[in-house]
Amino acid sequence: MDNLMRRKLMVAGFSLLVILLIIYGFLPKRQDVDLVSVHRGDFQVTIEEEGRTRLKQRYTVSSPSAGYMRRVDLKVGDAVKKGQPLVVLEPLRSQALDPRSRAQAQLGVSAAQAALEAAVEKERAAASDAEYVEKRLERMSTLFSKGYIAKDQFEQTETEAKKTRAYHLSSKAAVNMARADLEKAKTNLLNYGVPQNIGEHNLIYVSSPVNGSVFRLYRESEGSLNVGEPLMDIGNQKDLEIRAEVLSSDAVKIKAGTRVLFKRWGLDENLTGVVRVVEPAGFTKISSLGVEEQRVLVIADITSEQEKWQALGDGYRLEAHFIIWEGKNILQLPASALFRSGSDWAVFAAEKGKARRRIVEIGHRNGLAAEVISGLMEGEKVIAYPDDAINDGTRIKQRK
Amino acid sequence: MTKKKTRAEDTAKIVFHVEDLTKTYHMGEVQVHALRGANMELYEGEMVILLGPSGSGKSTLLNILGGLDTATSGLVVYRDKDLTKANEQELTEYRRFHVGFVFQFYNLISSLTARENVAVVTEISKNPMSPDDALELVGLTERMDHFPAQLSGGEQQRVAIARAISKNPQVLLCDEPTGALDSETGIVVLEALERINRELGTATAIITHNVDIAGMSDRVIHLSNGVISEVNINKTKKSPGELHW
Amino acid sequence: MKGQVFAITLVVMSGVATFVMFISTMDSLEYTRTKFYRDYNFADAFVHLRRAPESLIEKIKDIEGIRQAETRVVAQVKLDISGFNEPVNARVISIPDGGKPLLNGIYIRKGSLPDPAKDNEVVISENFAQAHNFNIGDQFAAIISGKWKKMTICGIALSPEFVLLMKPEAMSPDFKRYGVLWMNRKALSEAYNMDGAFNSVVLTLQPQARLSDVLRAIDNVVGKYGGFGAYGRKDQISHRLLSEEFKQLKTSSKIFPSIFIFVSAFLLNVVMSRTINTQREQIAALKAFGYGNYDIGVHYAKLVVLIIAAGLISGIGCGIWFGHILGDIYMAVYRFPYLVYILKPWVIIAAVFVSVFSAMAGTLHTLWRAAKQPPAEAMRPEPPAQYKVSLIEKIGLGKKITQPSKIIMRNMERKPIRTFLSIIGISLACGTMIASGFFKDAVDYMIKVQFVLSQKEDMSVSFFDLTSRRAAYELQQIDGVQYVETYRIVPVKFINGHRSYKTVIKGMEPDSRLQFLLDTNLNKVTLPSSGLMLTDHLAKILKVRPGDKLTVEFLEGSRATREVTVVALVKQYLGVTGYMDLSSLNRLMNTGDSISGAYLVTDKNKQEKLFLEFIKTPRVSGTVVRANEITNFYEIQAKGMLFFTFIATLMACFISFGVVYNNARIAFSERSRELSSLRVLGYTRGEISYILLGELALITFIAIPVGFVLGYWLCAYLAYALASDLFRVPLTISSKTFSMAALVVLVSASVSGLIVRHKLDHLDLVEVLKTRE
Repeated sequence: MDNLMRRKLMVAGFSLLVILLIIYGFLPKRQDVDLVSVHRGDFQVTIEEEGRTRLKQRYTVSSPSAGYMRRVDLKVGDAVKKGQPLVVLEPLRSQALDPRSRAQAQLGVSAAQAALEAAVEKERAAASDAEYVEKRLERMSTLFSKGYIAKDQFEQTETEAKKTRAYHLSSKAAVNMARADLEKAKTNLLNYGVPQNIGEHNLIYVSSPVNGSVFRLYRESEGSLNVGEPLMDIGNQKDLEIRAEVLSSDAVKIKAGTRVLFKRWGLDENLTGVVRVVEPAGFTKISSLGVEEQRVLVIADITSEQEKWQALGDGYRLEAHFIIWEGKNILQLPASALFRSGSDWAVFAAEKGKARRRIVEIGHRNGLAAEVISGLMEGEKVIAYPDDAINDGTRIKQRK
Repeated sequence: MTKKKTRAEDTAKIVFHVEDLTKTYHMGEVQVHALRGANMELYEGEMVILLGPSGSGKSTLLNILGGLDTATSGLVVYRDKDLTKANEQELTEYRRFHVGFVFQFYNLISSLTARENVAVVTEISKNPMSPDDALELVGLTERMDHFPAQLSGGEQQRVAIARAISKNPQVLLCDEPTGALDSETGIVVLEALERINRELGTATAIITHNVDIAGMSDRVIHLSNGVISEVNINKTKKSPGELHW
Repeated sequence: MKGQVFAITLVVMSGVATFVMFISTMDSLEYTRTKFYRDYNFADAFVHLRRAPESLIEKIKDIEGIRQAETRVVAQVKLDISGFNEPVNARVISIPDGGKPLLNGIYIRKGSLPDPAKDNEVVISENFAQAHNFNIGDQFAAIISGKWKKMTICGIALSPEFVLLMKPEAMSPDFKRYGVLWMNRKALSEAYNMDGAFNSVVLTLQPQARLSDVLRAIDNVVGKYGGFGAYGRKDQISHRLLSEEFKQLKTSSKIFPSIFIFVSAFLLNVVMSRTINTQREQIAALKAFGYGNYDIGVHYAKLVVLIIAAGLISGIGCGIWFGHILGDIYMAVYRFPYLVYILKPWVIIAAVFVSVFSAMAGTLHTLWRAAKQPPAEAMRPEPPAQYKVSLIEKIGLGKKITQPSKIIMRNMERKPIRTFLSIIGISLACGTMIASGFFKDAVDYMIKVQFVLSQKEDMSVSFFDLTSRRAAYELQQIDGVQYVETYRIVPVKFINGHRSYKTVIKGMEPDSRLQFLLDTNLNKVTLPSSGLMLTDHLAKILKVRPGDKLTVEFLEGSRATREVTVVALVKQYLGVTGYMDLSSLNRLMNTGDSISGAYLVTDKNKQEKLFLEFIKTPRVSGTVVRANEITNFYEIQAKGMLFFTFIATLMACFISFGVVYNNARIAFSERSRELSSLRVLGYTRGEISYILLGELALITFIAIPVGFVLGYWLCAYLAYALASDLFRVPLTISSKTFSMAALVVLVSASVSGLIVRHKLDHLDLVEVLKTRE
């Protein structure tokens, strides 16, 4: 071919190439997408709510009487057996062996003693006074009867005699009183007496009503107790139940026997459980969002092997997932692929490198997946989180 | 003036037939009548010199013959083609394949060597001779790879001639080919033209205002004031070497 | 010559116009801002706190360096606008009852201040009013401190505090969904239990005061009232963003005009040297008559000035015109009460000076050469050009190409510098187009990464206060909510030695399906269970690397200071943040499982219902719909980007047209003789066009890939120059931009080629035979 022809061809060819390249630059490129599959498998629809563990039976051991508690050796978590003594109670002790009080009490005794002696002396004085006046009266009455003294004088002595007799009697009483005071003082001193030796038979033992462990200690140090004062809670860790306050609109979907999964309780493996009771009465509660809601208490038992949840304690928080529907071998797809198309749900299915819009019918759905009733087949791939760049017919490829 | 027929006339193959050719153009507000009804013929194989003073219309006539310019009125027939009715494309094609042109100022492409300057034309021709042959014809074989800037005036003109005839044209038109050269060089150039006319039989028309050159042609066509004033036949052609000016 | 002068004029005009446009816009905005700040007493320092008694203001005023201080009550509220069923938030600022605020004044555009006797009148920000077509007297509801309250609009205003109104974590302002309300102090205080108390202070400083000292002193005073850290103007979001914009304008004003100056200097050089060459004889004659070199030089210098005069004058005019347009575009987003258009004299002087100077620099050599030549030499014809065999032929392809192609090649190689500069000139046009497309491409990419790849939620809700994580279950159970993930945002100060930075840490859930952190290759990075991840840019600011320990001061709650290990870096284009596992963050702060908000996947058909629900939910402070963020951004930026693209395309066309046309015209005049000769020899018009335009086409085709490279470097420089801690610009250019650049260059080159072709077609063949070279 001659040069001219060659040149013409080259110019034409080159121009064409440039035009094609420019056109190529304007063409829409393949969009990077994330593809997920429609697959079969287990499907669960759950209601999630925060739950807390609680001892089914919590025994609060309290003091049977007033007394003096010895220091408790047990710690929270310690295992106890039924009948094992938990707390030792001594009878109420007197007040402290306070030296000043004791001294005061002793002075009281001495004072009472002195008062008694004074009263005795007074009585003796009164007695001898009375005796003297009596004798005088005797004489006077003899004299009066013989008319040697005036009536007036005689009556004076009579009155005196009465007086002294009265004084005598009252001083006698004073002595009795003083004696009683002394007794009182002496008894008082007894309180401040030297420590007595308590006999073993005075002690009271409070024992554990059940096998279990200590869940809570109310009093640890020694000290006096009132009757009925709580001492500690005993419970069986195996007896944990889970309580969740579920919205009433959700509670209707849960019933006794509903399976539950417990997650985020501390260790990685999830626990299983079963709902025991859905309380019939709801109650009002202000939610964390500040809204008033009706809630229902749902109680569930843990069905996993106890060794797995040994570490759980009372009042621990976890996430309860109530399985209100489950199916096996359910055709499903990740919910991220779904979007609204009018009042229907749609997906973009990958067909031969292009995105194709398909209306799908969805059945059950949970937060992450949805059951496919129609519109897709097993193994098909759909686009997760399709954005505005994807339309029907857009060329797509899986993002690396 | 007797119109004797030359050898060419005898064979009566007419290359150009010009009848009542007029050409008027405007220069500003002035109208210039370059040709006022020229009549002539060019026969196959002959060499013709168009002689006349400046302004006589000889260049205009040559241009029209060469298809560079169009007639205002009249008839110009090349063989069987009416050039006056030809459009731009046809004229270009006519020049491309049928006409060889030699300019007064050589008009070579300064960025091409001598050989390439000839190849410029042979590339687009239907039936050219090789550039080497063409240059050999004008005696420039040793200077084939030189650029015009490295060639003398005479050499450049010879390259131009080689270029013109390399396409094996039917007609060779030369506009004052020696006008820019001294007489010695000019003779060399004329010799080349003569040789080509003789060996290839190309009908050749040469414009000049130099009377001395007229002796080498078959006929001399005198122009004056836009018309053919007289046509002379040279019974004997001088060779270029015999010319003096 | 006319055509060439016209082409040069276009180029000079473009250069001067862009220069004047950018600088005058920047000056206007800066002046307007300064005036607005001054006239309306924009504060120098700000501090927000939980609550302090009014009496504390005396202590604050006592701080050395403080000139004025004003307390106020601010709050974040939800709005319920009938007819607009989307979440709307507003910032409420108190103003003195019945009066204007002392600092951060408000400019009332329409209406009046709220009646002190009423407690339900508000003044609203102008952008917000316009977005909703609000007028004086219209009403809407606001949830103020949990109470639904109907408010009446009594005024529409602007404030220096909110020249740019934007939510802190948003990417662009949202005029419809975020506004400012000004209310009487009494009414607002009562609603928020702030009677005799305040939670925000604005201050002005004495001229000689040192900001850092004053801020520290303020923090000391308000610290125990829950102060969130005082800050100065440069950290105030409106001021900050405006300053960034200025920086961008400044950068643009340097780069683009430079390109034009260079090209116009080049063109002038070519034209002048050609002109002078053709006038050699005249010059020689003049010199022979006694005119000195100086006179000749001055004569041609005057010619140069004349040529660029048209470009200068029209450029200044256009620059002013475009400056006004650009100013208007900015005004739509940055709210000043008026825009004072400033054209500083130095700008014009600089434009004139630079243009003339570069023109002179370009032509000096030629002028000098012409003036220097002795007359006799000048009168002789110019020696013929020396040609050489071209490179292409040297490598052996000589036999394969036609003679015309050889002409092209050899011509290109004869004047290599001119060829080179022509290529550069056209490639600059190409590069300019690429830079203009780059802005859109970079923005598209940023949005794609930050809003599409990194986030998958439909909407997010935020809470007024720290909330229990239990709220996630409650959100989950709302009809229409399909999936919930929680997050917590804690304001912090990162400290590494003497470097520090105030930002937030975002606590996220592990194995998140809605929020992703990406590395430079857009691969997902897993959140470590403990330890901190940082935005790469932040790590650069703090000079930390993965593995280093970083001190974190929590600006909330306990105000504790802790040390955390930086585990990895993430690539982000917007903002600078720290990331941690949510539980890990809560543990570090010694709070229980607390959250600040949640990400939701929702059913689109139930969205409106959800909005209404969230308006009524007391703890929810705001709702943001991700898709809205994106559309909103594009809406706001659309006009500006369109304008910019238009200008850039125009400029690129001018340059490529100018360079190609000039080259073509000069080549034409240099070679018309040869080309005519070829026509005489039987070459068609098309064939001689090939020779003339083929060279130009070749230069253009070479220039395009060179332009791609130049454009890429230009974009790389722009990405570097515009980076800040607010955003980084990704260096990404779409294939469409490349194609568009090539197309524009080809089209404008073709147009100038066609014009020259037209001339070629009308060559007078007869003329050529008569003239010497």
